[in-house]
Amino acid sequence: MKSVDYETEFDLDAPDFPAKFDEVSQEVLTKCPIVQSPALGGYKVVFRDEDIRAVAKDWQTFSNRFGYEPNRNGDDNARLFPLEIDPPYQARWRSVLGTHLGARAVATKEPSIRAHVNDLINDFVGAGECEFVEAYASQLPGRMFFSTFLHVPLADLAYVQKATDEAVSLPIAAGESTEEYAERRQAGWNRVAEYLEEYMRKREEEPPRGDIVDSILQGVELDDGEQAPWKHKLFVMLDVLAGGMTTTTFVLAGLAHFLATHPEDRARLAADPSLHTNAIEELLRYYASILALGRTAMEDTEVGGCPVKKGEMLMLAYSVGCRDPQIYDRPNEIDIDRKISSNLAFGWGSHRCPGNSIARLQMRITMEELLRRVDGLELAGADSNQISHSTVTRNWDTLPVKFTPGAVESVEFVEEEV
Amino acid sequence: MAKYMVDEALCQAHGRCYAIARSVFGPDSDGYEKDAGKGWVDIPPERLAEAREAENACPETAIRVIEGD
Repeated sequence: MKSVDYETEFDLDAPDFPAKFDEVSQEVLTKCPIVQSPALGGYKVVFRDEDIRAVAKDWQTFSNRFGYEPNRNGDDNARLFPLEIDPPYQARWRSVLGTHLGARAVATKEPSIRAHVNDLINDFVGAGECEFVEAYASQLPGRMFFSTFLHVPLADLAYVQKATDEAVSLPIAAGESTEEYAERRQAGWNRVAEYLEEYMRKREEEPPRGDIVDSILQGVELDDGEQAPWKHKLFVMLDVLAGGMTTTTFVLAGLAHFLATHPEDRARLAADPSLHTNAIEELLRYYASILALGRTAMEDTEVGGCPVKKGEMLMLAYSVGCRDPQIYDRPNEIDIDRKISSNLAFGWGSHRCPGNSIARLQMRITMEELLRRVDGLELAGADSNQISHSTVTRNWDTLPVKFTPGAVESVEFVEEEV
Repeated sequence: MAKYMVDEALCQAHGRCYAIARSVFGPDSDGYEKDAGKGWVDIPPERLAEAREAENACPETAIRVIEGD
């Protein structure tokens, strides 16, 4: 963003923002912690760690029910729950998800995830090179949800992935209007919703398996005590699926990018697995995948000393907050020994990412298996133009890498216990 | 009465809450908060302040404390 007046021209979707993310982040964090953007009908962006946490925690003043980004058009075919509802109803759905996505439940999935990890590595390890996003980072999250959690056929993955990309991660096209972009995203959501609805109808007819799909079908009560309608169950399925795809792809690609560009750290991590947990928290911070997510002010108020009017949308720029120099010394450097007291990468408050344990586990297993099986990893292309933005997510588009060719291993897929 | 809830999707067994407010929070056998995922739990009025302190100390923002019904 060349000499942009941040106060009046900031745009989350500006095409040159991804390439200048490090410098632009520092500039807005130090000069103008909150900006007004004219894009997408107008929204404010909140950058600083402290301000983001204050807004995210105050769900009474800053509601989620008007959508997670500007221009959610209120189309009731494909909303995302519990992202786009407020407590207390929201908290009841969180309890349902927590049973299946909490750290304890997710730990039992480790053998299944590790099998998928090694199966994917088998597909490229002999070649000595691959495009890591296509070969691995975009594959693992989908396999996880489809095979390990939802138990739906892997053959359907490509179709749903494409529709999800359309809904979440594809950037605005050259010459495309804001309205056309919003419609294109909604159309993607509608296609994912149609697919999931068909699967849920089928599962409703089958004997229960005790998995997350059954718990969602069982449902919760609305605030008035009535049972949640069918559509709300579909919206929860949509959120579970969509929330974990693009976002996890980005951090997995970030992990490979880090290993390829930091050989000294790679050697330390290979020699000492006790460093892994801390390193992963730092990588989640540095490669934070949520560019920003929105809240709507329910009254006239102020954030970080700036007035905010009732009805305004605030985009909380978590990925920028993760680089706040007030919190982090040398914020644009990866320091695997850095102690992060509380990670903003998963958001904050009652909407904090319920899939964080799955993301952390995919990161840990990927780190372990890449260190074990892929020697001499380095970038095969220029270290630029790999990332794009799409209002809410940062997206890793391409990551060509090369390495010493390795051997294929036999992989045993475990029968899922649910 | 005031109540708290621990979000099971967020609890990572850091143990800060029961280090700060042992009379309200506690570990289960694996170190996760014992009431994670069990919905709203009552807090006696004299324990509200320490429950709030634990809420603010949770690094995963897993605890929610509400006052009144």
